[in-house]
Amino acid sequence: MTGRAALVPLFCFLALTACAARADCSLQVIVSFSQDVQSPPGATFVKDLSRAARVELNYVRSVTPSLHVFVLEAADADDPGCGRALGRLRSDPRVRSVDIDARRQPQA
Amino acid sequence: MDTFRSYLPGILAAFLFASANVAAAVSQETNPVIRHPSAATVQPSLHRVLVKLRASTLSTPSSGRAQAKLATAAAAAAADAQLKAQEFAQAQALAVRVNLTLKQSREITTGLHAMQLQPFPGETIADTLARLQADPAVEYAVADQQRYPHAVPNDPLFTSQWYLQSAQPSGIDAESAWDTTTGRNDLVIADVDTGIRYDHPDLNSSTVNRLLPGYNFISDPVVANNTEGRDADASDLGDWISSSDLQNPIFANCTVANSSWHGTRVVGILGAIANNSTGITGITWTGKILPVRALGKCGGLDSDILDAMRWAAGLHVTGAPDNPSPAQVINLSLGGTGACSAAQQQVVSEILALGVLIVASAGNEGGPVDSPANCVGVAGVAGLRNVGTKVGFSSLGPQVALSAPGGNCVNTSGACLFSLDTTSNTGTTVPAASTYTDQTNTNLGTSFSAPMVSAIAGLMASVNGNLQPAQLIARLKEGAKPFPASSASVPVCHVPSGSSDLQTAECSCTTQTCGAGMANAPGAVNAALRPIAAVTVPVGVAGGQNVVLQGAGSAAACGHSIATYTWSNVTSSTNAIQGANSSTATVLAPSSGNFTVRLTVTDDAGREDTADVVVSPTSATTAAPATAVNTLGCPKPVSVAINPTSASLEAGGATETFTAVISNSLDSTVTWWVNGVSGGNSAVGTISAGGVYTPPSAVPSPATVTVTVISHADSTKSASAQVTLTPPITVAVNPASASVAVAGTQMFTANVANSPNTAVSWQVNGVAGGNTTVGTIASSGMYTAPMTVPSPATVTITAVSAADTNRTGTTQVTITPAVSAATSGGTSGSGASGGGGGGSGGGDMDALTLFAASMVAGAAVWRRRRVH
Repeated sequence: MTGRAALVPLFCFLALTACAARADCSLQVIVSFSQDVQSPPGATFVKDLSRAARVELNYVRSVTPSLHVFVLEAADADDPGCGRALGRLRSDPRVRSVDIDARRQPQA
Repeated sequence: MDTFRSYLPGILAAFLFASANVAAAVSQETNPVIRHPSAATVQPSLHRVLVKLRASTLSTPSSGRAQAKLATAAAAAAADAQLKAQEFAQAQALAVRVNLTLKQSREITTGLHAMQLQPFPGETIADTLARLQADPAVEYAVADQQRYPHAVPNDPLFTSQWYLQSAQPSGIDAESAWDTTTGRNDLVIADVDTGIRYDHPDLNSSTVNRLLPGYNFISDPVVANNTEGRDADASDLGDWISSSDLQNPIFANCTVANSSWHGTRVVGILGAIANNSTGITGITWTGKILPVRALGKCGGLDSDILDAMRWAAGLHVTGAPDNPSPAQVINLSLGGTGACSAAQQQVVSEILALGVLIVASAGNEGGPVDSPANCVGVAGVAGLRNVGTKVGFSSLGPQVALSAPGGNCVNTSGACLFSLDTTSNTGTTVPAASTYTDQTNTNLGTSFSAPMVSAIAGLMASVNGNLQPAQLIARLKEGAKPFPASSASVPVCHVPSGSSDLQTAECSCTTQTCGAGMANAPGAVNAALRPIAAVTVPVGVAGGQNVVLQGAGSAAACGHSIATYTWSNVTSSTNAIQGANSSTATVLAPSSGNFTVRLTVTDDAGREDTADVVVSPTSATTAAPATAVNTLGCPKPVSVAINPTSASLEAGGATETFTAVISNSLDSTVTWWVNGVSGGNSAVGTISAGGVYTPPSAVPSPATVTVTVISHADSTKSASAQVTLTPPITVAVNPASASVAVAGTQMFTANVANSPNTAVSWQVNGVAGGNTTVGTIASSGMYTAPMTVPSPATVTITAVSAADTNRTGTTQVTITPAVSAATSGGTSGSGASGGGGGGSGGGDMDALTLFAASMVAGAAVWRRRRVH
């Protein structure tokens, strides 16, 4: 780990908004909330959720009132797959599930 | 009448067979699987014909029949016998008039007789029909054709579609199922895929279009290969990956590849147009395919696929217009490794709750079943070799519901013997020509196993639209054929232990790895034909108290009814059941323990279904539904209406546009006929594909023709309009020509033929009533020439029919200079010179006119003298 990379988590912890510019992982996810939320989810709700999970969530669109697509970014060092960030988000009681918006292929 | 309409295409074919030209065309048929005997070879000793008598000739109006039905049984029988006698007498009288011997006659409906006539030696059926048709009492006469099951399509590539036949162990034997059903008009099967080639003639032709408009749910324009991402165009624009594409991180996990035309290949199996003498045949022959595009370059994201699935099922998706034709079956020939995600399962459950079946391919990795095929409630489909073993590439596991052919080559090089032939495109990048896959341009994968099951489910829903998704899956399994016994040379498949446990070689299927068996279309359809037992149980139960169980919510398959309800004990032979043979039964709840009661419903064909109810001191529970109703239900009959229903047109005159309204079908296409001839002809008038009828140039005999519109969706459904053709109105003007001196007059008369309205209006050079330059004409036909010779000196007098302003008669009048009083001997300044009497009575001038003309003539002479 470089010295700069080692400082990123601390920096993000102190100033979350700076993490987006220094994201070490980024992926599109489908988040299911424990309760239906408005579409799009309120900015305050998303900001609070992001702060709690120490990630940045950028709303893309809603599939259903309880399924919402976000681009998740996080600055966890050595976690290019966003595994730890996903874990933090999944542990939030407001979140029922977080699935990576996986790419599917035709099966021929 | 509707039944008769179904014969019309065949009737036409019968006429065509009589033609040497068409016989030659038939001989060019390349399809060796047609099993129908050739009509041209049939030489019956009696001519069987269907004759419709004109209503005006019938002696037994329908009201009389109704009255007869209302009478007492004895009176009704007597009336019926009398009616039959009258009907036979009418048929007999007709036979006598056309000099034929009537052997037998039966009235099908009012005025429509099925007759057997003895022809003259050597007389053809066409000759007989021509003589019958010439009789004024006959509205039409057509051959009573022998019909055969249409189970075997005439599509030339059908013979290579081994997977639809029964010769190979894993073939689904669609042929046998087609004897029962080929689909239904209101059936919609969605394919969430790469989109579709709407220009493939075996999916969308000038006469049959199996495709609905669909929608494109690919959000990323780069993946969608367009400029805007999501849009209303479900066309497959190509999903090729070039080497330069790989520089894009989106495509990092993909490889360079040509466009797959995957959706077009899948849809060909679902529903390529059948019996169009072109290419292949699909498993469903009627209904619509809904292409929903969610896969593009390098596949597609779950979030787009989930939106596509929801939209296909009829759910609202923000940003897209609601789907006007929700699907009953959604085919997903796509997937990826891993468990069914929470998001996928949530959407799957939402769709299943709507009564929509989801079928998904198991995957091509030879490992655990892919997602979404492994989602709860989805019918996952694994792939089989032709012999019924698992094809190496197919994924497998307990989430598989059943298996279907996935294609296998046998040979390691050269022809791929058991490729799955279907529709495709030749383009390597952008679309090019439509084509088909074959043993060289191969088509393999569980992607094509899934649509076989989806289409079979469509056939099942066609005979029993009340089956819920779980019931469809259960009956798909029930109808499946058992896997072949394993052999020592082929290992037995095992449930994968993890994603790295791959079985990429052939293995012998078990029910834990390849589902309940090999998909079998007739077995599944027969299972679907069984009724659905449904039971309503009380919410609360108390030991020792009566428990009322209601089975009235049960339902039979379409076209059938529940004949009997039988309640029986399963676990206790001593338990008393009140109403054991009625739809509602009452049992006594036990004080302890529990017992099981079984409802058996039997339909009018003897098919059964059962539902068990477990009764305890506190509850009555059942896995059966409370009511056997799904949103699809049973098909409503297609109906056809024509507008207008009658018209009177002049022969050679204006056209009439007819419109058809098709109800209860997604297919609104029709064909138009005139007197049983598709498109009509010059003798009876022609009709365009758009319903524009052009009358013949002369009045046919009889003068009334029948315009019929036949639904494509159901060729037995039609509507007709009567067109009475009248001779064209003609207008003749007398005298046929005239010469009138300036200021002179000429009386013209108009003779209007073929119309009771003989009134005309008059024009001079196209000007109503004329004017001072070309002369004027009164409503009486009296023409007054202008004061000076016009240029040109000849004018046209036109009489316009008031009955039809398009009908006119004309004559030419030449205006001549006035003759001076001196040279005319002072008799007249002008006068009619060309009338020759002409019967017009014109030409003479009254005194005032003569005076005026003389003055004008004199002035003219004076002016000429001044000039000279």
